[in-house]
Amino acid sequence: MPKLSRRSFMKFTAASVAASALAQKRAYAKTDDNNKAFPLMTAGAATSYGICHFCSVGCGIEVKVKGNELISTEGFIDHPINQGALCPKGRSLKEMHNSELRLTHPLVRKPGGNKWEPISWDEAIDKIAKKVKDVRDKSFTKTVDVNGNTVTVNRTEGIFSLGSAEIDNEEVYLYTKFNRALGVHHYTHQAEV
Amino acid sequence: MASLAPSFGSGAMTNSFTDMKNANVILIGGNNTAECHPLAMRWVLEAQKRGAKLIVVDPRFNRTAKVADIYAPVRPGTDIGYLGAIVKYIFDNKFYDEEYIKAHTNALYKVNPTFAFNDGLFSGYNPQGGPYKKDSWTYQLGLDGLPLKADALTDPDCVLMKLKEQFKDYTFEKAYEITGMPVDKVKLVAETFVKNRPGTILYALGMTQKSVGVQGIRMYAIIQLLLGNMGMAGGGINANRGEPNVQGSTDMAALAHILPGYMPMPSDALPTLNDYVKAVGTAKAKKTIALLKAWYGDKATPENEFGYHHIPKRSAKESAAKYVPIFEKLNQKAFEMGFIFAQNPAVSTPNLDMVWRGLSNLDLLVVAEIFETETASFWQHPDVNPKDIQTEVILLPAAMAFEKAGTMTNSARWVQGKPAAVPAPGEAIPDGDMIYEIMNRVKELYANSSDPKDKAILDLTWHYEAPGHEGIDMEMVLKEMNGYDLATGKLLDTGSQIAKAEPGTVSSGLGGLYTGVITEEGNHSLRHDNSDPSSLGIHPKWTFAWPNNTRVLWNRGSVDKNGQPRDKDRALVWWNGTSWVGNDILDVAAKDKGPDTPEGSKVFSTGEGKGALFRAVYKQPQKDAPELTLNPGYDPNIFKVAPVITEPGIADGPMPAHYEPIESPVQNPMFKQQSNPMMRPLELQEIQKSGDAKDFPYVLTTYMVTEQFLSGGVTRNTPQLNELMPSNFAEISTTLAKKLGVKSGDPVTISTARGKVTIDAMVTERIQTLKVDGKDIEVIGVPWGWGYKGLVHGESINKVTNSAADPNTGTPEYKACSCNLTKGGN
Ligand code: SF4
Repeated sequence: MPKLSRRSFMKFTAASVAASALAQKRAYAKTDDNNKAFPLMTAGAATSYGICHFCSVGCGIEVKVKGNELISTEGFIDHPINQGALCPKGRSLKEMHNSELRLTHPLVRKPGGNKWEPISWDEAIDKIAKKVKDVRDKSFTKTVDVNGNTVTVNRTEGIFSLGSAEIDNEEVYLYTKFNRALGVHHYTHQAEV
Repeated sequence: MASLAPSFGSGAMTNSFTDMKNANVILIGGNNTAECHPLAMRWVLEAQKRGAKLIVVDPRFNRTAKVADIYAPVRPGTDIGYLGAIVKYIFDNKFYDEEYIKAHTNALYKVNPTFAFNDGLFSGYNPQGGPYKKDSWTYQLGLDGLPLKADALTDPDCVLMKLKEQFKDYTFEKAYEITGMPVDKVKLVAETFVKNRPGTILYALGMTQKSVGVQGIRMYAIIQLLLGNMGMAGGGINANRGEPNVQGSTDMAALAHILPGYMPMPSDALPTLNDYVKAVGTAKAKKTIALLKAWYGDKATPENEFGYHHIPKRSAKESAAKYVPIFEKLNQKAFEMGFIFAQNPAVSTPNLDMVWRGLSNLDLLVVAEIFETETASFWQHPDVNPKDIQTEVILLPAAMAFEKAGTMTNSARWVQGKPAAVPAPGEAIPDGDMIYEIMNRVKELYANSSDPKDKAILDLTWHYEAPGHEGIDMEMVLKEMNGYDLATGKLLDTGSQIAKAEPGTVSSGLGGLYTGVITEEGNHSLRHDNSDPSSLGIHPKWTFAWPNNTRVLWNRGSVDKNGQPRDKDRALVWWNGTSWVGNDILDVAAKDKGPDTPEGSKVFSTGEGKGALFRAVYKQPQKDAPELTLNPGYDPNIFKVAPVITEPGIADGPMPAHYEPIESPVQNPMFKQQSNPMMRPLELQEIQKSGDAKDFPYVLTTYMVTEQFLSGGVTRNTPQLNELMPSNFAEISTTLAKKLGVKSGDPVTISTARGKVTIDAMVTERIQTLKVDGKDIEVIGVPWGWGYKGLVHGESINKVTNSAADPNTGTPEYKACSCNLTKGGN
């Protein structure tokens, strides 16, 4: 298994940049806005495609990217539902990417502590995995007695999991698979409430 | 969803946003579309432009009501009162579609003669507590195990007459007495909806967040079946869901009671795979085995029951719902560790004290988020001293939607893909990669174990790295979800291949639900051809819709008995003499079987193959099942003898009835039984308190505004949205404001049995004093997505809401509880 290190995160970032370069190749519109007296904010930007990350209507969004910055999020004209329109939330999505308030590094709050402290990915994943094993092994129920019959149940009692309707299908799928393989049965998310 | 599946066979928004324009009438009850699904409103307005009537039923005259043709107020939590009157109106005037209900619903089926309903209780009620005994909620069966059919709809034993009887007392006057909706309004709503067809119904959390959530939506199902609106373009039931991918996350079964693709979770009442197949039916069991093949590959064999025991079995005695129970158990110190991915329960949970106190009982909490939320920072809550909280919290930085490739499923079941457009900031990574890395590390820790319990981890298929990808390749995950023919190694094209295959020879991580999304032909979630040859808003080549790219569920219901469209202008599918063709992909029925055959006439995928006006407990028997002795554990012959589809029924009754919200200022005008008799008892007496109307005379309801989304975890960090909606407010009627001497902008204190919050008042005409049973009822409305993190703050109303929940879904009754309101701060 590749260890997550600072180096691999750099590569991760590089992969995403490559994706955005790809998006550039696929740009839907070529503009010559640069010839105008006042070039448009979007001049020279790469165009990509996104789906609104708020309500479940699923509006299509034309995403304009310059470097690492999202410079505009406008309704995707060809999308059959929103036909180029967006509500204020969809319009605001570029702020979600660009925000200074984004979490950018793993953090830990120690027991009794009153602040967040940085922690490396490696250490964070390690701590989590060890705790999973520890709690799972301690709180595992292999069998229960149901009306005099011994039934294999393979349940982890000491861990619960919540989430999420805010992440992609592939990610929730992996999360479900992860939780079930661990034996977690206290598992639910936003859809229940 | 738990309410639509028992009625039709599976549950999701049946039509689509772009289909709404085809409606002749739209009833919006339990959804403020203009505010909460603004671009869905585009299609409601388009329908209106084409002549459709728009009816809005809501406690508030909201933004959607503003453009409605008919607005009718309703007391929070009492919708079954007026919907019952619509059902009675349909019966009294025989406005039901006789041909449709005879052919496609269980209207003619004869009900068990011991079935009864008395004063709010169904037969099988146990006064000592516990669930209903459901053996009378059944049909009269023939020797072949199939339901007996009455000769005529007037047979007093038949489902239709039971339904008529159930709603005979729901007059327009009674509806007014229950809901506060004026008599002439109830009548107008009923007439308008019944006389204009096709009609569609839109709902959202305004319908589900109730102690009778499932039964309220059952009312919609019953009305739409009676009117023949199911399966029609412009008809159906359009559940507008909340979060961007809540349809997808429900499909992926981030829930306690199901596996991805809606197969039931194994329980300790089903010790072996044979037992499981018998209980859930062969149709679903085949899907579960396909899932096990995806999860355990070659390690899933007939000998080890395909890895059936690798999946935890839930306790059959415990509630299948888990949300409120998890917080109860946290307070009982049942957990040492918790994962919370992209969810903010420290704002969104009712009776928030449960969360504050509960999370501090953990050793380790792992949160993955885009911004710091109240949940990650629960130890910073203003009422606590961080020193007293011994929980370690690890906060993992997540990539947002545009920073990662993947698919999301919108409310209309469209599985839409997108590329990564920008790099995530700093070291943030997709949630999927975090999960992947944690599991890899866990697998390493268990690598040398020979304990059988650890096989579930060690045998798990978990390879998603591809050359050229740092991090995982989401398309590999999508392929696993889609599924493979294991003999050829080729991607499957349709879910029906799983039904036809020998168990164990095909794989699909979703039991076939999304099969077709990515095939040898390519990734259909990325298709961007928006053409619409029929002009019905079908857009068959825009991304992919489950199941099988069908855009209107149950569309076989749109044709007459000869297989020709009932409405030529809304033709979805038709029989051309040799096969079913059309503008949409045929749902459920067999493509090559004529309209007069059983397989070619099937509209719904319930156990009966019929729409359920009465949700009976039923098992569709296997035809010509041989007498066989089965080997224990798993025996492939189980597929020759087990029932095909099973219907376990609904917890709180085969038909709806009006019950009052758990906290209500009103005595139930219908029965002695005040509220839902199947309520799960709450565990934490010192936190989950219940109040009386004498102390808390008003009705509190909660909702959302356009600019602040759900718990506000993102939007309260978004300056342009905060400029538009900088603070929370409590809407109160001018009558109440006058009585209390409150002006807009004055702080008011809202209290319930569970605590107090201070919020600024907004005195408004949008909420009117309701007359119910001769009494004036005041409704207070408060948006709920506020907390103490982010750029703008406000007290969260969920501090005082009620955690009592629907017994089927576990969804708490956010929409109605008893409160008091006083002038001035807390
Ligand atoms: S732009 Fe608005 S309406 Fe469209 S998906 Fe986003 S939040 Fe929903």
